[in-house]
Amino acid sequence: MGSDNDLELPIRQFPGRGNAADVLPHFSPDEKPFFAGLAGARLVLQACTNCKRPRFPVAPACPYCLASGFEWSNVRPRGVVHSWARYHRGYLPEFAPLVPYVVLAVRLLDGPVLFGRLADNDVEPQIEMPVHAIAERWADGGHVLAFACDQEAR
Amino acid sequence: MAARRHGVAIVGVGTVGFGTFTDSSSATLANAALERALEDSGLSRADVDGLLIQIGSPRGLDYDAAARLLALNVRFTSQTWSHGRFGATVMQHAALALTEGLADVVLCLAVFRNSAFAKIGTAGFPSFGEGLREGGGPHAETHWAGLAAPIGGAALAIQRYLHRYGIDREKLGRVAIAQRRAAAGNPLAVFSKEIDADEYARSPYVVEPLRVLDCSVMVDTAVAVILTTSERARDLRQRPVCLLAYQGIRGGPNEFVFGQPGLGVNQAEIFDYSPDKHVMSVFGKAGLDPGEIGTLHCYDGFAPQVLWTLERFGFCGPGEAADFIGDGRIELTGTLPVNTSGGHLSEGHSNGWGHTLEIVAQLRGQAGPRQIAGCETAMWGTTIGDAIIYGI
Repeated sequence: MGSDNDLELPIRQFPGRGNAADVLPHFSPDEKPFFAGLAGARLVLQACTNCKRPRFPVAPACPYCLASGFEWSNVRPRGVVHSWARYHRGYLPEFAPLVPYVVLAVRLLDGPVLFGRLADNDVEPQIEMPVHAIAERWADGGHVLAFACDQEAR
Repeated sequence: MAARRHGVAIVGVGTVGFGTFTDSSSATLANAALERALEDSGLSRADVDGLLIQIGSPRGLDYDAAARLLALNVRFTSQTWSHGRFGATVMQHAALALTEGLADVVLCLAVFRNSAFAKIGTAGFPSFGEGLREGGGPHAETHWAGLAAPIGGAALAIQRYLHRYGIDREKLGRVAIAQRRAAAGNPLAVFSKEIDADEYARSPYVVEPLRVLDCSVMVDTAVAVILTTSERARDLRQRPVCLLAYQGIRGGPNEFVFGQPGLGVNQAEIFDYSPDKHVMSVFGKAGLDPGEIGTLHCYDGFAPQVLWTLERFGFCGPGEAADFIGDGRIELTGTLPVNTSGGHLSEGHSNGWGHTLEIVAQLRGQAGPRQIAGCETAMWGTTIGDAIIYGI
């Protein structure tokens, strides 16, 4: 779905506090390839072997064609803001220093909608604004998906 | 010969009210609500042979403790997930059990003490663990994205909805303002002081675009609702409030507790919602059109859920709800009074049980200053498609 260069995620340092291990899903080995992909600077999703559509969240069955088979594949780390919300309260200690911060629902060019924090604090979010995925490295070395505006230097 | 199907009715209700009951145990609160419901119905504790619990431990009582501590000897009991969304499901299970003869008198019990736990918005809030659940949190909680607490998913969904239909964000305030006006006549309501559009606009954001006044108020409560067959109900103290028709919660990749299917927030597919024959079938089973519903009561943890419920069940078209409610239509004197107790936003977050008490009061003609003239039918509905239509 594009050259290697187009698939690479910029990696930034997470500006909040704490460890990624405390905010990642505890119980789902199914999601390991997704997070391993981020550590390798790639956005990796399941693609259905039947209908070929990439999907998210990680799941054993395709929500579109209902088939079970899938393979992990790179998707283009680009999309547009489908929706956004600005947190005025620090519900999670890891994100409390970032308040107010914006969480995005991003509609990828390849289809699925993914959640991620807007890493650019000085940008006013707009629905349909183009963004790209980044990987943020946390203090414990874990990598987490976030998004940045396309007008920012990549 | 096929078994004869018979109807089911609510015959007794009781509550301790809504507020902070830090010094009372769940069992003591539940017992007080039960005593009132038994008194209301004219039944005795020994008559109860079915028990359904909505919220279990640790905020309330699990079924086994409830039966033991409340001295209930039951032959049919069950309990749902500790979430508000299952209020109507509990009632439906009661109706199914009565219809199948698994019990003769079923007590539906909701008791919970939120004040015993840290507030939403603090790290000690117990359901924060849900965000780390396999498959993500029930309100789209995704901790690694900073998407925490139920309000985050609601905020993302309403932001998309407002954009999709080009709706002025401040129109959302009509929900909180209308429900607060209704709550002024409800002695059980936590908040009963009227608010206007200016006060609403000054209400601070919690998770933008949702303001404090768009959020429900957390309370402690115990509510007891007693159901039996329509046949037995005829001999009891109150006019029976009959369950005319009901349908369950919908689930699937396109279902999210906040927003219509197709909104694309925590949902697989993006499309424009319109009600399908399944979601509308509850009206057909009740023999009523949406326009014949006397009062609508819907789950309102956050104000947008009222708009989405109106659209989910075709009371108005997609994207039209904010205008639909703009001319007083959902107030007590309107053509479709909604959440006339003040709902979760003003009466207190009772997981829908306060709404059920209100439906019963309205249909019995016992709603005092809130009474809707000639109210003969009422409906419970939620954004996830479950519904009960009641009649007197």
